[in-house]
Amino acid sequence: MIKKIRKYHKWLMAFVGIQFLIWSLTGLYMVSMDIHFIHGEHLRVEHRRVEHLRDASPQQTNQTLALDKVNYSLSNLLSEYPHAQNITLGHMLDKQVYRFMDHARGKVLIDADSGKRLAPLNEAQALNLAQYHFSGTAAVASAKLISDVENTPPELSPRHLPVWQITFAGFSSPTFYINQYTAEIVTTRHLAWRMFDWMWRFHIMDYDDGENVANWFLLLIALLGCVAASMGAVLTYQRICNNKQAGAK
Amino acid sequence: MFKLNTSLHKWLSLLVGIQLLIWLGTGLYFNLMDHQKASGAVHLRPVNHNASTSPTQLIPFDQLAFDGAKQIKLLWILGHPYYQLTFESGPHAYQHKSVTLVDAKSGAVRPLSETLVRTIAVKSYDGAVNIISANLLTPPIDELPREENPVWQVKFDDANNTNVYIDANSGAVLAHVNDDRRLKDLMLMLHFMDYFNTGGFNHWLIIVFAIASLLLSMTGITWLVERFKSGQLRIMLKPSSQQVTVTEQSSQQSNTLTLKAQQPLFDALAQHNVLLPSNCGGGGTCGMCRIHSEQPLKITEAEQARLSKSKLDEGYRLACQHMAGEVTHITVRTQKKSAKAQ
Ligand code: FES
Repeated sequence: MIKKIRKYHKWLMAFVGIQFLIWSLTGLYMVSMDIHFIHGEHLRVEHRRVEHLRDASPQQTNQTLALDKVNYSLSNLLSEYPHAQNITLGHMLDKQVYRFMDHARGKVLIDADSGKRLAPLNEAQALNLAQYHFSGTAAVASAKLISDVENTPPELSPRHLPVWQITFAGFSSPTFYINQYTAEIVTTRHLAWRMFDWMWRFHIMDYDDGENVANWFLLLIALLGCVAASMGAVLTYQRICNNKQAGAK
Repeated sequence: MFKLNTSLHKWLSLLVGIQLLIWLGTGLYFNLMDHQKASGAVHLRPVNHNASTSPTQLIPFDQLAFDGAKQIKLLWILGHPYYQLTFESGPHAYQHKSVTLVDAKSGAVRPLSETLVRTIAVKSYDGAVNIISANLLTPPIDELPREENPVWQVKFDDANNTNVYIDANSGAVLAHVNDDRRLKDLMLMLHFMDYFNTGGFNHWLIIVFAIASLLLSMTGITWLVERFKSGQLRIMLKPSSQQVTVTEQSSQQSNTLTLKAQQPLFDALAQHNVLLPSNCGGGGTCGMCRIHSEQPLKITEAEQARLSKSKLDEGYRLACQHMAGEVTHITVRTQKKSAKAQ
């Protein structure tokens, strides 16, 4: 009996053993890397003191709104864009801006001082924004406007389009994706994230797009793996019991 | 080396064995589960909050008695306008935020009332339900372990025990947690070894277990490779047989047996009722299945670990390490009698 189990354990593992190695390797990577680091949160700084707030307290930065400087009021905005939805007042660099959605116009960005609608980001502005929020010191390696789904890299969800892709030089190629209309950094990517994504694919054995946990290949190997591992458990159990019996004698 | 490898494999399996089975079982569950159901969102429908107000009714920003916000959002909650002032927030919605809700018409601070919360909860549910209770919870929240902000919990009396969670800072419906979702959360908790309910998988317990499983896999694969090298993992195409003359050491009786060539000698002999002593059942770890042969047989790692140099030189080998096809004449010490006596 034990002999048979030993034999099947050996033969099954000869087929699925490599996947066990992959599972533990990729699993180890995923649990040991801090998820916030993976998300690239360290690449990005929100707060940075700017010139016009030099005499402000150290905590006060340009990220704090100066409400008395909002010359274009919310009522102005609502009378000009009556269908505006999801209106927020925030920052773009040191400028105070409104961002909202409009049925006809899509995503809109408005200077809260002048009330003028801001044109979609050009390359220079996108570079400026990326460098402003980048926590590192590396130079920009490339800048590219991505506006259609076909050219969207797999690391970016197409719902963020159109975006500027700003890639910094360096080993981990930190990359900022900035929405062209809202001037918001929608995503940051770097080597550790890209590796995490591959680890995930190998972990769920989805070798085409990494989206699908429900694939038959995983099902098959996991089922065989279950049987093989249970038999391994029997062998271990038997070993302990035998040892105990031997000890009792 | 070999001995270390196999005993490590056994001890590691003892340590991670159960968790390994849990990982496989929960992994299978994720593979097979109904994603729609498991999300808990079968009855979730969007709540329409918008309404139109004359813009002049909104109090201007500079009349707000607040300083230091980094973002202001015009938020509609069930047709009433609010200013949501965010002072502090993290990259993820669940992370701690410092937010104040202000009535955009009066300028007064107005946190979500229980009545509003109850209405939002009912509107977010597709179907007729009754509310059992509504409570404002502060983190940690059992069913939303990652959440770091206060959240309203509205309990429904539906068949699936739905709890609706509503963000106290915005009135947004965060989740419907029902029995299907609870099952998935339990599976996730088991898979992530999140036995302290942190909602995450970056903790030392799972890291230690992941390292142990990695070693378990590596020692297992090394063992398999070793097996393969010693010819015990070869797929046989046609079973050929081998005539082996077996001499019993004490009685000096000889028998010629017809054995399957592609079977470990240990097993092949056993089939002919020649039972060699063994504690490991042919695993190459007990070193008890000793045989003697005048033929020049290769020496496997298991044999190096289990037999002394002099014994090896004399021609002693382990029966479980060689195929029946490798030998023609061997001498054995059987436990035939004692086996029968038992
Ligand atoms: S049977 Fe235990 S070493 Fe051969």
